[in-house]
Amino acid sequence: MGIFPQSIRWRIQLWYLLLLAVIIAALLVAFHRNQREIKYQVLDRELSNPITRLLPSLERRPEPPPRGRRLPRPSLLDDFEDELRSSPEGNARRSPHGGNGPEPSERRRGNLDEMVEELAENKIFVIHWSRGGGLRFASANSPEELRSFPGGVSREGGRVSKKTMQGYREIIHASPNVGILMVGASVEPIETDLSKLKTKLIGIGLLIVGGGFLVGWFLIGRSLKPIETISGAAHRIAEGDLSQRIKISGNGSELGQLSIVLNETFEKLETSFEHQVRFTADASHEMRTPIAVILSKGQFALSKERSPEKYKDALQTCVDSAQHMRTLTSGLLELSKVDSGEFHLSPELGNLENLTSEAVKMIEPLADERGIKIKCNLQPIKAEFDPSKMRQALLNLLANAVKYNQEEGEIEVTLNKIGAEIVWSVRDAGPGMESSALKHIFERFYQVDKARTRTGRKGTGLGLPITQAIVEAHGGTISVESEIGKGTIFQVKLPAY
Amino acid sequence: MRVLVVEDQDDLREVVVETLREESFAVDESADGEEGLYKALNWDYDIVVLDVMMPVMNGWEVLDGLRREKETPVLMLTALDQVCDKVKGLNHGADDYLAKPFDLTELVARVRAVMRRKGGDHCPEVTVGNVTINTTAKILRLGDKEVEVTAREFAMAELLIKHRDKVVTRDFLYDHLFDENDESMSNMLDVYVYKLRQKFGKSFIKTRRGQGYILESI
Repeated sequence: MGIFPQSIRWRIQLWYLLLLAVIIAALLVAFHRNQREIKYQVLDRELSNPITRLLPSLERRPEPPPRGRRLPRPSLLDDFEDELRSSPEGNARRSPHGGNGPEPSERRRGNLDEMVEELAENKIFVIHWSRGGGLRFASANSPEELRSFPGGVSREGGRVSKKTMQGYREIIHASPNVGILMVGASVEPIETDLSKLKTKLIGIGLLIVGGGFLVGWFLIGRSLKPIETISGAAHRIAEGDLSQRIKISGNGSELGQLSIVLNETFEKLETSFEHQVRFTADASHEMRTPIAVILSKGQFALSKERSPEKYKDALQTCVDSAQHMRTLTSGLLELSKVDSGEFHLSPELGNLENLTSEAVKMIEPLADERGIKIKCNLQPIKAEFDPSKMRQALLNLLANAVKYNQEEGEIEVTLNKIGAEIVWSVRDAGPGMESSALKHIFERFYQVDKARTRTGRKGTGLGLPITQAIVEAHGGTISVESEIGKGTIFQVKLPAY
Repeated sequence: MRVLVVEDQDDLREVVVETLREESFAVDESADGEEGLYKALNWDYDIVVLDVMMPVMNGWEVLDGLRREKETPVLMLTALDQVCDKVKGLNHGADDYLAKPFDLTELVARVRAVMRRKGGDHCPEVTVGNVTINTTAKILRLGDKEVEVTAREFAMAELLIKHRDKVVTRDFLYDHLFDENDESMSNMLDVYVYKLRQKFGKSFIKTRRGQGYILESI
């Protein structure tokens, strides 16, 4: 992200501030412009007023040509005498050539002077040009630089235009009758006011943005608090304390719900981690015993000169133990495939009856050793399944039934289709199991009673978990029922397609 | 010295028992905890080698049951080698702990070490009068000269030296020299005493009539 901070809080804060600043700035600029417009409108009105008042006094009238009248006050305008002479309105004061009261033009002249003075008090200046562009009149407070004839002003007349130039606001009235009349005033007071307003507005803007920052910081901090809690808990979990959970406050909010989901995830994580730890511990424990046997038996045999029988016995024990380890490792490998999701089936269409009788045939020699009879009640059922894996599952169940059966006992194998389910059952006539043991029967390395297998082959405690994995991979279920003294029945149910 | 080995794994138990017998211990064996505890409570073993993971009754239960009545030294033998398991074993009153898979030589050395500590001797070599015994090398010396003895003779000498200056009854000797399967008659004791006196002098072992034997250090 480069110069942008990584923290969500800062990012939200910055975006929020940026937005706030833009909005406030836009508002304040608009306000400022509005103020300026209002002020100019007021000024324009102030300036327009005199025009309407002045116009009548300046309108050209058919009257005798002026007689050497001078502009009274503005000596500045002496140069424009000719212009003034040719303009009847331009005369400011009549020369005393008759005492019989003021002529109309003289009266007008008087009015004009009063008005101009009045206007001057209000800091408004008046400049008047003839149509030709000659300066007729300029009030004393009019700025020098505006007295030159404003080019571009329409001489056609009847028009009013407004302009702001060189720090003055002027309204120019042009008409054929009057010539060009400019009424203006300095915009300095307005601009000073506006610049004061600007300073104030900037101050207010900064205050609002600053306040917004604080409020935002607080609010964002408050709403991000759960994230801190979550990340704290996640952090402690990452450090190895899997028992950590997020303290949930307000489970209605999105973050509250996230916390609940995360806590559930942590729960699962902890359980599966515990399983993994126990599995590894159990696996290494199960491997240790055969290793211990091989090591000790080997060391014992080698510790001194022994008879050939002793050596043979030692070697036999070592081979048996190694074989046990082989069974154990292949079982572990298979289960680790189940755990990592690499346990794949290669299903094909086949007859389950054939598969079952094959498996029974394979187990018969083992059963014969203990005088156990296997009774079959099988129906021909076609289904899609992985033959080698299904056979393995079946063999596991049958081998258990032989191993945990009584001498000369009986095993009953049935295969039926009940409703939409294919049901297999393997019943033995063994001593049965306590219900407390049944709960754990499908757990890895769980062996109901190791002592019982002591006489026969040693089990690995992985057969039933693998069987269960195979059945479940086929979309089925496996269950067990047992009665002390009567025997145990394993039931496999597969969906019939 | 009599040892009880409680271990459910047949092959392992066999090899441990055989090894200890070759080390001239009298060895009894049990395949499960319940039987092991029964034997441990009914005979005075010099040490019990006890497995933890066992059917019927596990090693912890056997240890607890034994500690309620006896102070027989116990060496735990188990596939659990986590520190917490070792700590648990020692806190339950075990005297030592050995994780599977172990070396037989280490097992024998630890069994001897535990028994020595229980007997108050910290050094494997002990001299009484002019007779020196080295329990590790299994050597008996008269002065500087090594004397050849049989395993049973050595075991008897070891037992008497361990309990020197105390009267050792014939029953005690019988219990600690012969295992449960030994059919030897108790008069075999007289034979070993006779042989030892032949090799180390008449005054080596004194007979306390009606009580037993005594080996005096001075």
